[in-house]
Amino acid sequence: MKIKVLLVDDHLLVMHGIQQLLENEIDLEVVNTVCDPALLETEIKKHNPNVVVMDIRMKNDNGIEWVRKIAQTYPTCKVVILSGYNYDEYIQAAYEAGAYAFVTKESSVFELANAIRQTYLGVKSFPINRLDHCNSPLTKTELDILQLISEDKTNAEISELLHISRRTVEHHVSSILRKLDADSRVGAVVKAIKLGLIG
Amino acid sequence: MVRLFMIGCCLAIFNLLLSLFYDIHFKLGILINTLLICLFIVYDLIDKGLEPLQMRKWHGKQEEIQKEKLAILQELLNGKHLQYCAKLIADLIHKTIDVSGVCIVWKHDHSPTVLHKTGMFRHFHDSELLSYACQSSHFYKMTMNEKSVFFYPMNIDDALIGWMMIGEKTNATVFDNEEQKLMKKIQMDAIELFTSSKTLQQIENQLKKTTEESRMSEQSHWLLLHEHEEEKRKVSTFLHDEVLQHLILLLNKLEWLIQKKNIDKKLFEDMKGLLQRDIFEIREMCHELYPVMVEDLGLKQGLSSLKRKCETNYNVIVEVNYIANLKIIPPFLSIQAFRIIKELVYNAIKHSSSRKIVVTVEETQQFLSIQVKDYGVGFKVPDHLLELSQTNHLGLITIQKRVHQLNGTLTIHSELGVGTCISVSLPITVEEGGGNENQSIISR
Ligand SMILES: Nc1ncnc2c1ncn2[C@@H]1O[C@H](COP(=O)(O)OP(=O)(O)OP(=O)(O)O)[C@@H](O)[C@H]1O
Ligand SMILES: [Mg+2]
Repeated sequence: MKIKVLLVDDHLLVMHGIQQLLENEIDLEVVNTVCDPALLETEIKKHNPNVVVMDIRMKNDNGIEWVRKIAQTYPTCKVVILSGYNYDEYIQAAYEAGAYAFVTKESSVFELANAIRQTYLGVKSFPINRLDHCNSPLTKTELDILQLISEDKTNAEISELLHISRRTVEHHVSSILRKLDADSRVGAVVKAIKLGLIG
Repeated sequence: MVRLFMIGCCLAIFNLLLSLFYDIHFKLGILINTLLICLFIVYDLIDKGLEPLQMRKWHGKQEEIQKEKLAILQELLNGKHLQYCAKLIADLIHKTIDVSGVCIVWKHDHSPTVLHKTGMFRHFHDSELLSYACQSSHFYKMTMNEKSVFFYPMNIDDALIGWMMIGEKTNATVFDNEEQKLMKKIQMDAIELFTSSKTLQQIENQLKKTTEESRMSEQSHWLLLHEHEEEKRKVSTFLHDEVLQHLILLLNKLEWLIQKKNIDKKLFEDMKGLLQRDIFEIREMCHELYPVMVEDLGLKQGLSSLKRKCETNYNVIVEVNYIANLKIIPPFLSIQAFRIIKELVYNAIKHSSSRKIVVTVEETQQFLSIQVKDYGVGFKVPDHLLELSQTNHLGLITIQKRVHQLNGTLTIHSELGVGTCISVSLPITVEEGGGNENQSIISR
C-alpha cells in the first residue's frame, strides 16, 4: 500500500514541481494538490491522506495555524512542513504546533520523501539539533573567514578584505557556526582552535 | 466759581478776626477788603498769565519724550533690544536733565547685568556697579565717590526687573519738582519699554526656534525621501547584481553540463553552492525588507532570530527578556515594535561599543513596553531629535515618528561613559492616525 500524500501550496508552479518529483517515488502517491487552504478540510475528508505536505506560509493563511488545527481535528493525518524559510524559530513553531517534520524547500526530493516516510511511521524529523550539518568539513572560504574572525575582524572588514558582499560574509559566518555547532563567533573560534582548524 | 467762593470765605473770616481783635472803622474796613480783593485778582491774573508759559515748557519736554519713545520703539521693532533700548533711555535722560551720568541695570532672570552706562558711571567696572545693587523697590539716594546717586527701581507687579542709577546734576543742585516729575515719567516709560522689549525678544526667540524646527523638519523629510529611494535602489541592485548575475551564470553552467553530457561532480557542487548562497541572501533580504516572521510567529520569535543574527555577525551578546502576559498583540503593532527594537539594537552595536545589549519587552494590561539598554560610550542627546537629520542620522528620528504615530512614548536616557537606555511604550489598542506629544528626552 502506498503512502497517501496531499500537497498544499499556494505557489502552483512549485507545487507541481514537487508533485512530479514525488510521483517518481514508488511508495508514495500524491492523492491531490490544493492551492487554496480553504478547500483543505474538504480534501482531507475526501481522501483521508496519511501525510499532508504544506507550506508554512501562504499568502492569506498562516500554515502554523493550520498545523494546529489538523493535528487536533484529524489525528490520523500527519503534517510535514515544507518551508521557504529555514529559521530556527519557524522550525520550533512547527514542532510546537504538532507537525511531524520540517523540510526546507531547497532540500532535495530525497530528503522530502524520507521525511514523508518517517512521518508516516510516526517518527518526527526536525533539523533542530543541526546534526545534518555538523561535522561536515569547512570550505576554503569558510576557513579564511574563520581565521579573520579569530583576529577580531568585523564582517565589514572581512567583506573588504575578501572582496565579497556583506551578505555573503553573513552567509558564510552562519554556515561556519552551523557546521561547528556554535552559538556565537567566540564559541566558533574556541571550537575551531580545539579542533586545530586555525592557529 | 470755587475760586470766588474761596475768596469770599477768606474775606469773611479775615473780617471776623479783624473785628474781634481790633476796633476798626467801617471805612478802613472797606478799604482793607478792597485792597485784599485787588491783591487776589492780581495774583490770579499773574498766575493765569504765566500758566501757558509753564505748560509750554512741560509740553515741550513731554513731546520730546514721546518722540524718543517712538524712536526707541522703532529700534525695538528693528530687532535691537535691551542694550539699545537702555542707551536711548540714557540719552533721553541726558537730554532732559543735566545729570552727571546714567547707569541702567537689567535684572534678567535673577542675575543683574549693566545694559548701559554714561558719564560718571563709566569710571566704574560693571561688577562694581552691580555691587551697589538696588536694595528696595522704592526710590532712594546714596553716595558714590562723594557724589549723590539716585536709584530708580523698575518694577512690574512688585517684581523688580531692573533699576536706573542717576548721578547728581552737573551743577550739584537738587532735582526740582518738575525734574522729579520728568524722571518719574521716564521711569514709567522705561519700564514699559523694557517689558515690551523683553516680550518682543521672547517672541523673536520663539520664532527663530520655530523657523529652525520647520527647517529641520523639511530637511528630515527630504532625507526620508532619499532614504526611501535608496531602499529601492538597494533592492534593485541586489536583484540585478547578485540574483540575476547568478541565474545567468547558472544557466551557462547548465548548458555546459548538457554539452558535456556527463554529470561533473565538481561543477554540480559549484552550482549548488551558488544557489544556496543566493537562497540565503534572498531570504535575508526579504527578512530585512519585511520581518514576516514577526507576523507569522509573533514578536518573541522575531526577537530571538534578531538575537541570533546579531550574535552571529557581531561580537556582542544580546540578552532578550520577553515578559508575556497572554495579550493579543496586533501584528501591525508587533511589526512596528520589531522595527524599533531592531534599529535600537543596531544603534547599540554600531555606536556604543558595548559587548552586551539587553532587550526587555513586557506586555502589560494596556501597553507594550520596550527597553533597549547598553553599557557603552553613551551620547549627548540633542534637545531636539530633528537636529540629527542635519548630520544624516535618521534612525532615532524615524523611531520618534513611528512612536508618535502609534500614540506611544519615547524616552532616551544616555550618560557618557556609562551607557544608553531607551524606552518605548506603545498602547496595545492601536487606533489609526493621531499623535501626541508625550515624548521626553532626558540626558545627563
Ligand atoms: N546606543 C548608542 N550609544 C551611543 N551612541 C548612540 C547610541 N544610539 C545612538 N547614538 C548616537 O546617536 C546618533 C543618532 O543615531 P541614529 O540611529 O539616529 O543615526 P545613525 O545610527 O547614525 O544612522 P542611521 O540613520 O543609519 O540610523 C548616532 O550617530 C550616535 O552618535
Ligand atoms: Mg541608527
